Amino acid sequence: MNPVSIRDLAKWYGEIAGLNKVNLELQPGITGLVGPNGAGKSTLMKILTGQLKASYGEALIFGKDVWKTPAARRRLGYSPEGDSFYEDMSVLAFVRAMGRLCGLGGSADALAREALGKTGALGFAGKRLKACSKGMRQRAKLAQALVHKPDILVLDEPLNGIDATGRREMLRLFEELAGAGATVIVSSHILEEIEAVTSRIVFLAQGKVIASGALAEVRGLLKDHPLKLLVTASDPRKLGARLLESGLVTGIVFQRRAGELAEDDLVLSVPQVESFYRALPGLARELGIGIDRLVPLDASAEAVFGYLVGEEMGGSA
Amino acid sequence: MNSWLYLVYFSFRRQLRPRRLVVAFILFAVIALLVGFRGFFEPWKVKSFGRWIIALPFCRFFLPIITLTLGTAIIGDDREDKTLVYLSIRPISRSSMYLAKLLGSLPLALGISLGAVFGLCAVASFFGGPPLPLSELAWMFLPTIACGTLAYLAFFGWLGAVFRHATLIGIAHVFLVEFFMGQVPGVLKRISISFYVRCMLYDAGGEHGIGPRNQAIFQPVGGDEAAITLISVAVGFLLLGMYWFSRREYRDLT
Repeated sequence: MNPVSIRDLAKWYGEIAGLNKVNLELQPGITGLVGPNGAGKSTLMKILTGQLKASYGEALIFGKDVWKTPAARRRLGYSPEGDSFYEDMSVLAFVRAMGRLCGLGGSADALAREALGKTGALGFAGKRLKACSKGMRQRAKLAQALVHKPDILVLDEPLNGIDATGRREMLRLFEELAGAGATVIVSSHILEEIEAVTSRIVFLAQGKVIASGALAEVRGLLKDHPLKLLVTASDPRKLGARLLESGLVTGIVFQRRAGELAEDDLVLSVPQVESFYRALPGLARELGIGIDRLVPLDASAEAVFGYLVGEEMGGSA
Repeated sequence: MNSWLYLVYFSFRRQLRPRRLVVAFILFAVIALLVGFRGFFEPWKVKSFGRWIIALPFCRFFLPIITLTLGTAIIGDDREDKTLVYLSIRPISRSSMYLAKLLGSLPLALGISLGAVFGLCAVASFFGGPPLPLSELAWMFLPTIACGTLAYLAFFGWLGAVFRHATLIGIAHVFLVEFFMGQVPGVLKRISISFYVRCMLYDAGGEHGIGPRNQAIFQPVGGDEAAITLISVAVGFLLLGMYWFSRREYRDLT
């Protein structure tokens, strides 16, 4: 049984569709939720955590409908996007109280300290929340989601307000949790950060899942958008001519290499990436050309998302 | 069950906010000053104390205002602070969450209202009247105030769950329905909670002459009937609140 099963899920706000027939099966590991504002990420997360009721379909946590079965929420940790707290409580008291509300008994204090330690918040555990900085509050929010050691973590923009070092720590923590068997669902508008910890991404736009899966797989499906590859080679013109002749690329742009007067890089449009990668070493060997660098320019989550949204809107990005 | 019990405790702790206690203390102090001032010149009698202090400023002003403050805060505080999200994601059903939050407010509401009645009786006794032992005097009013507190708290709790600006609506209710309509001759006053509170009070203090100024206009119901009505109002609004809250999504509550 998958930890999270979402079947034909729809959510209507009057006549506006917040989510439209979403189907997802999520397994342990990190899954990134990516989409612009209003794409339905937060709605999906709120249905998944039992805050909103689905208009149609179901969101199941280990086979149980989370709206109808409150007990299922015991296996769930949620860090909301909003910055609201019980301001007069200390960080430790807040996390401990949230643990107690999840059914932790005498162990709540120790587990709260453990969660604060994991999120790097132990140093200011005694500080009142109203006196905490945005970054501290974000860590406290994460700690309350972790305190009862849930199997599923739903994190809505968890990296907001955290500095670069803190973000790296948090991403490492997500990886650790996923490595320990948790299902971590992260939404973020900073796509590179999501990409750094997972290749499994769900792209949402206008309430629909427009693509999901490993980033490379999704990229490979975008036939109308050949992959752009930057190639640094010892003889770019010779290599470019041969590649065009072979049909492995559909377009070539010569790009002056930074800091060089006469040296060019090649920017190739590659429709069949796997065939290209298979054939390139042989071609280079045949032509006696050395290849120094091969960099995909538009395989990032951000680029893929741009293409997907463009296609969804009926145009090309 | 652990988490539910903790929510009761948590809600109780959240209600112990200084500003709320200060409001209760100020209102109590004003009435206590009135009692002390009058008692200084002329010792209170049971009848005048019951009618002019307990039935009037206490039952029709202090009690509704205090229960309004506490009742609308049951859900209203979390709604205002946007902290309801931290409760709605816990393994507690919505209806039992509402019940826990109301039960968490109950000790404070009862503590303040019963404590204030006892305090007023003590102030009146301090100045040489009414001519009854303090415990007997207080005991005459305590069941009435307890039933009134339950009914008001459940009503204002429901109001706080349903309406975003429940405090304003509650204040309007206190003045229009509980205070003004309570004066109107005929059966219309029976929609107010204060009517049944006063009926219970008049029944309990009847032998000491505590009663309405004009029996024919007031047309009280019996003490038992009033008590049953108040308990029914409390249970009814509690169940209504639980049902209503269980059907709401988080977005409706923020």
